[in-house]
Amino acid sequence: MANIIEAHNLNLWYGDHQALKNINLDIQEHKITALIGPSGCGKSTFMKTLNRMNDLVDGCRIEGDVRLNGVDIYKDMDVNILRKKVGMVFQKANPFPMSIYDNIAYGPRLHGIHGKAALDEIVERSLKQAAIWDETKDRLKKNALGMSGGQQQRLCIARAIAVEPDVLLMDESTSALDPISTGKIEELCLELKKKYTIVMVTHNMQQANRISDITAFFLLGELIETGATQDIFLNPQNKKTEEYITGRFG
Amino acid sequence: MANRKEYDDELREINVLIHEMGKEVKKSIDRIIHAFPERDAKLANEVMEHDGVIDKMETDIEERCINIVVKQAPLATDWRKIASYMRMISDLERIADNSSDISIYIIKLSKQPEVEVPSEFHQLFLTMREMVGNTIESFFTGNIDLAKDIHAQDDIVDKGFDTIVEKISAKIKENPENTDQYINYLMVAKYIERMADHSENIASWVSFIVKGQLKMQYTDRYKKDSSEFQFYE
Repeated sequence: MANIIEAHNLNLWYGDHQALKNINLDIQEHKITALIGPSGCGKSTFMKTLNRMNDLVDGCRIEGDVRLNGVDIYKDMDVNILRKKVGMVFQKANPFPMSIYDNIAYGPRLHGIHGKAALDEIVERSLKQAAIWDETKDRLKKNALGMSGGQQQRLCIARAIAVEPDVLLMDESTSALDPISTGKIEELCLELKKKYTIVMVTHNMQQANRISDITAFFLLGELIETGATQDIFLNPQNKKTEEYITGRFG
Repeated sequence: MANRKEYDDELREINVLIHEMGKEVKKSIDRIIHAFPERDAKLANEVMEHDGVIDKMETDIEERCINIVVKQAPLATDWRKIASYMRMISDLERIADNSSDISIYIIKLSKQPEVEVPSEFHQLFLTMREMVGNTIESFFTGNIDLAKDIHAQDDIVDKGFDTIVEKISAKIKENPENTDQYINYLMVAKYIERMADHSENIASWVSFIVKGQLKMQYTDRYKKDSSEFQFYE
């Protein structure tokens, strides 16, 4: 399977604090890669380098490179194009305070699509892909803030895929949801990876085990171990990985 | 590292209980080894009566393992341990059952005229007992070297069984009036062979816990002389 993202010798500082230390990690296309590790280990920081969200942090400095489809995202790619190609879903669902329809149409409009027919098609396609069309098709003009937490999160996923990204970043996207909503989003991820590549940060070891193909374990800014999820969770090679996933530290 | 002390204590307790179960299984084996040459029905009965104790131990350990799976969702070595424990106690319980099965035949033989018994039985019993003993110790100590000869020993048992079959077959032809006794001895040999197989399974699970790779030893006995099985092709 081809690598869609490659991080080489990636180092990151927030001021004097080095948050990422010499990370070398490839993200395989059409796979779900789970990033795990204790709080403060650098997994979310690493994920945010993939769409340059760390640019928004004062004092953030990077060395090394990150490539999307072979293109250096820090030197050779417009950041708006990057954020279209690498979408993000956050821990807390953050629908815009507008209608369901406008939430989905916002990104495409920003990228120059204004025709009603085209936007209708994109909205329907995205909501269907996010498995929330049936729940929303009769209320597209209703405010998105009236939806349940699980629905809002699926709406955010639909919003991200409306601009047809290559990669979806999901930063603990189900941690605030009940088990049923979590289950729905996990099923959705398994379906979405046929078309997209997913990178997810999770504290839920069972979730990582259930749905990810590759798991990468971070600790104190370093990438300790990465491999096929089944291998990581059944027979980790590094003692620190074993201790973390069995809950014996962290 | 104080995290999960209660969980670790539970895992350790199960490990100890399996060791205890293994000791009870070894006692049953020792009893049948003593009962067999003398066709001691009384001792054989004790083995059968003791089987319920071992069954209960299996049920208790199984419940504890299931509780851990439900409560703790174990991963990595913890998961390999629990998965292996549940399979191993099943193999231990089957070894105990086979001891009871042998006891049934010892009791039958005690009521029948004595016949000449193939000498291979003695080595068969001793090899099987050593296999069971070594795999149980290997499990308890985590030292897989203790069971490193298990496959070679199982081959010895298999060959011994084949030899007994040949000898008993010949004896039945020579003395057909003793067919009942010889069939009973054949059944005993078969159960010893099964006990050795279960012991080999236990060794595979111990290796899975320690090394993380599962290599069950599937017998290739049937490949050795395929001419007998051609009608299956």
